[in-house]
Amino acid sequence: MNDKPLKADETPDPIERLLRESVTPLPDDGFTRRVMLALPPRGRPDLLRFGLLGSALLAGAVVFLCRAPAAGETVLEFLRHARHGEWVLVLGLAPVIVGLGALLWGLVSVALEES
Amino acid sequence: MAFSDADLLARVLQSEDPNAFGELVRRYQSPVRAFLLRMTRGDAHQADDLAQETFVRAWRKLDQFRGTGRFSTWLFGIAINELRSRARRDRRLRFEAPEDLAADMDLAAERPNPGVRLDVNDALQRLTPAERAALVLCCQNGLTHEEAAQALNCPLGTVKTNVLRGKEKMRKWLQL
Repeated sequence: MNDKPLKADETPDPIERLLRESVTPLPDDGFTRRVMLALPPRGRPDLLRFGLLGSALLAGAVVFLCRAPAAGETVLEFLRHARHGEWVLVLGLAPVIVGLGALLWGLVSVALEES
Repeated sequence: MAFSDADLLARVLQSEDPNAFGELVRRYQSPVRAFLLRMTRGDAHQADDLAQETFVRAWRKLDQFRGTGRFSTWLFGIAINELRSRARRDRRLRFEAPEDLAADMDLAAERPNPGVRLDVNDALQRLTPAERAALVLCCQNGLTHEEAAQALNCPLGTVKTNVLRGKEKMRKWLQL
């Protein structure tokens, strides 16, 4: 794989020479064919992922902006209920928190994968 | 006429030619699979599985290959990332966790039976995974120390130390 591979007798170190000599090329045995069959369409999955995430975020932002005062009141209402010990209503927030967590996790995963 | 890696890469990127990528897979399957076979201590099934994931990931991320280094260095880097990723689930594959290094050092310190000369492959298996990776990349696959450091994502000094230590241990075990 070197541009200029060393010849065994040019290698001064006997360990290097032994290591070089112990390399035996592995036969393909259908490996390339298996890889080619497993290849996804190039580029499309990422576009789809970003598209889905982007549109979900956009839709969420639009809904939030359109309903901002009501959403604010809802949060305050939940806090009022929490202060009075009505936890059943407060638990209603759980799906929202789980949903936001999942979204955040997805974004972080995508970012890590891309890096 | 044999195409260079750069020609094949250009064909994949410009015309999404899967045959050009197939040629790259054929060209590099042996060194990548052999490297992973060494790192998985001879588990051919696991090594081939990791090698397949390496090439699939390379296909997906080909546009991120800058072309400043050799394609093989970039490919080994992906293989090592796949190995690290798999090692999160399978601790036998870890090659950086201190407890595993310690276990490997114990194995490495173990003296072979007196009068018995190990063969190169046995000796390689007795090295710590980090030493083995450095030696296989540099001495068997012709990567420079800088390229190995890039592929392993570790400092250059660490690679040089691992190569030196690995050679020293092998020299002793092989009685050279």
